Amino acid sequence: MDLGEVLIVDDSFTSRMIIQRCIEMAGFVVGGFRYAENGLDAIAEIREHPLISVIVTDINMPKMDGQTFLRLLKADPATASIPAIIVSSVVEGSNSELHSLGALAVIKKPVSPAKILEAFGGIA
Amino acid sequence: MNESLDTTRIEASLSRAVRDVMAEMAFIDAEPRIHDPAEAGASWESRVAIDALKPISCRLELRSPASLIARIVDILFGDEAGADRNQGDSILEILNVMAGSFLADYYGPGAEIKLELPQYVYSSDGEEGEAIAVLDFDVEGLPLRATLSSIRYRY
Repeated sequence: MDLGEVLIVDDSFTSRMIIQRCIEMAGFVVGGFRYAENGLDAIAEIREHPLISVIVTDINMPKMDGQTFLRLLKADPATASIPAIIVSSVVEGSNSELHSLGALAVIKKPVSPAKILEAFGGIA
Repeated sequence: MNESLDTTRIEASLSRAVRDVMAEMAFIDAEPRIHDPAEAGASWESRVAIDALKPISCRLELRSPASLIARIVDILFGDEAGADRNQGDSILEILNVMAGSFLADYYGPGAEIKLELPQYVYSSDGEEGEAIAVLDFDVEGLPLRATLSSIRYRY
């Protein structure tokens, strides 16, 4: 399955690399990875690179958290259709809110290829 | 407000979180060992802490020698570009995931968890709260200490 360009949004370099490796290990074909350290940077990255077709984002980040980013992403008609997957260590109890904001799937860290495979299965 | 905490369950949940996250993120075994309060502080060259705001206010701190951080970075990244520049980040992310796993384990699915961002600790200066649990681990020959404590806020 070809995911196209994937944007990984996480303030941790380690986490970004682990997520990228898990996507690759899950067997997806990726046109390229792009990175942002918070929601604010992610919005700029999406504007600069309109070919981004999948977003994987953390929740707990400085400057702009994942929930605010997701809300803005889904409120903009130009970006609302981009599938967004939440990856966070603090998703317990807030999954329904994240789904209502438009998250395609919610993954609890630590990330694994199996969790990525299951979450990305919902992408048409 | 930690009067109602079950210390035995706290220690079991924290131990599971440390072992599981070290294994799943750093691919390294952390084996519990007897806590030695007198262990030389000189080996704790790295101290990182994260504060939880919900469901309880507490602080989880990891102490380790720098060589453990270096080993984890080497396992994760080897000679990969950017690894040197970001090596301090690895233990912070591990701590972040560990704190979430510990609270989810102790309070169960559905608990609302809110964490501050993890950070390095350079000086205690009386900011340490009351210790709730102190667990020592042997991480493939290197020591690791996980301390859960109450948070002493300054107003």
